[in-house]
Amino acid sequence: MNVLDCVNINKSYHKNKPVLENLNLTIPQGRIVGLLGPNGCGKSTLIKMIAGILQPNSGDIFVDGNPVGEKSCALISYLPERTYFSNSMKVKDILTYFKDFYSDFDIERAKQLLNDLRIDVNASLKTLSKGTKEKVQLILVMSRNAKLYLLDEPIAGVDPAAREYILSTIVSNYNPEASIVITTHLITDVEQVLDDFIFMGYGGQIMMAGNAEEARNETGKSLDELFKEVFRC
Amino acid sequence: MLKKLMKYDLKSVFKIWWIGAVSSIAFSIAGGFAGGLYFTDWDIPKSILVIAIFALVLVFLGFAAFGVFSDILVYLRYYKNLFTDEGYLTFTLPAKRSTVLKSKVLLSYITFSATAFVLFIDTVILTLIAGREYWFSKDFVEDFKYFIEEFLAYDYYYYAFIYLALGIILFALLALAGYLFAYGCIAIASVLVKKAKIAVAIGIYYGASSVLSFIMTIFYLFGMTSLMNLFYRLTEVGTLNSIMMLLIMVIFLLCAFCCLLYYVTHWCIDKKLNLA
Repeated sequence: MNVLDCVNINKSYHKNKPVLENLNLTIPQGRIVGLLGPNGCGKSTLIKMIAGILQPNSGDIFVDGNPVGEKSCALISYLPERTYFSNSMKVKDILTYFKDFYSDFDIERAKQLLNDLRIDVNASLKTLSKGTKEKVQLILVMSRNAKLYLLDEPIAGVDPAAREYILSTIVSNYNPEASIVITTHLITDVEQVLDDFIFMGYGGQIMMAGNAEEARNETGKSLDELFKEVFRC
Repeated sequence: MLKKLMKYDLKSVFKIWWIGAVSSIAFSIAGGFAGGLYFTDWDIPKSILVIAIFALVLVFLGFAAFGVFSDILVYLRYYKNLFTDEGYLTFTLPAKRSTVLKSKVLLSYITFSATAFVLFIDTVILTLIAGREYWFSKDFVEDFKYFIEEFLAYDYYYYAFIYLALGIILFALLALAGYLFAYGCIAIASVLVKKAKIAVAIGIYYGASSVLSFIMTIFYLFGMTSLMNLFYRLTEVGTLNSIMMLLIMVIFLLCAFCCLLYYVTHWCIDKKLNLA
């Protein structure tokens, strides 16, 4: 059973400048998939279309058999590449917000993770640093028992120690029956947690895809080295 | 889901709105005392009376500012929640976009009603304080009795209640149209441009308002001339009925206009908006 099906997706922001052309993609259940590609190849655009923020020009997207809409949004836990909370909110307000809107949100798990990071639930978001805000956002996203987690550049702009924390939080807190799609161009840090990988080129072209471990065993190279080979300038 | 969306919309707006409400009530109390200087028997120096006039002008400007302040809170909430980074959260909630828009429309209406109520209370407070010597006197009772007698003596006094009801409906629809118009301009601007969305929205608002005003002026000039000619030929009750029919027609046109504005705004948000 596929948790995500993308069929003939086309998307362009301007005429004659397509971002994604006839993209076909499936993500099976229970896998951590790295959606890897150079900057501007359309990874975030694809993630946003799956999450329901953008509309494709043509094509269909199904999340656990549901077209993108109200039902699919309930199944998806989305972490964008930017902070999306109002700075006037406190951390506890955001916890209540998520509990109100998402029936699968585990507030106790979120509180525990916040406690581990010594983040005060009574703190206002505007008093937190950028990195801490991103961690709060990640904790909220990973505290849901979703079917599909979409993590758009979760470790970009974060220090190496925080990257390790973020990746361990992702692996230890997600619903094992769900799938995770991580987009990044920092492959070295991420490849250790990936089950599968997809190398996406410009226009949404799938350059290479498969099981990460098998690819490493067959080629004797890391995903990072394979990536550099495939996308050599 | 609509209730949950509304809960957070109302919280966001009213946690600041109440400051404006309390300030406007304070203004009304101050205005009441300033205005009361004109109705008192005391010998007040002219310079004090001039200052009182300025104070009253400031009070009324304060009332207007409160109305504008409430509208700005509503528009800011709409813009920030849908068309900035907060939109990444709003549009990924398990809610239809039509539900999100309905929440914003209801928010605007609740805020408008609350603001109108506070301004009504302001008027009552100011009038009561300014004319306190009159309101609690026998003269007021006599004047009020006389007014009621004269009103009920008019053969068609019940038309006043019909006009009042139609006027309230018309006023409510005009407010709704105003909010939907602004929402539509912001949505269209956000679809058309990526930067300076608010400036473009303001430009669209004033541009579209100018076009609408021009069309309305043409209708008014031709329509009023025709109506005046018609009214001269009608009986009194005929004129009253014609005005009533005219108000009802305007109400239906406004309803259609509101539906169009809602549809355009929803279409922009649902089909055309790209937050990236």
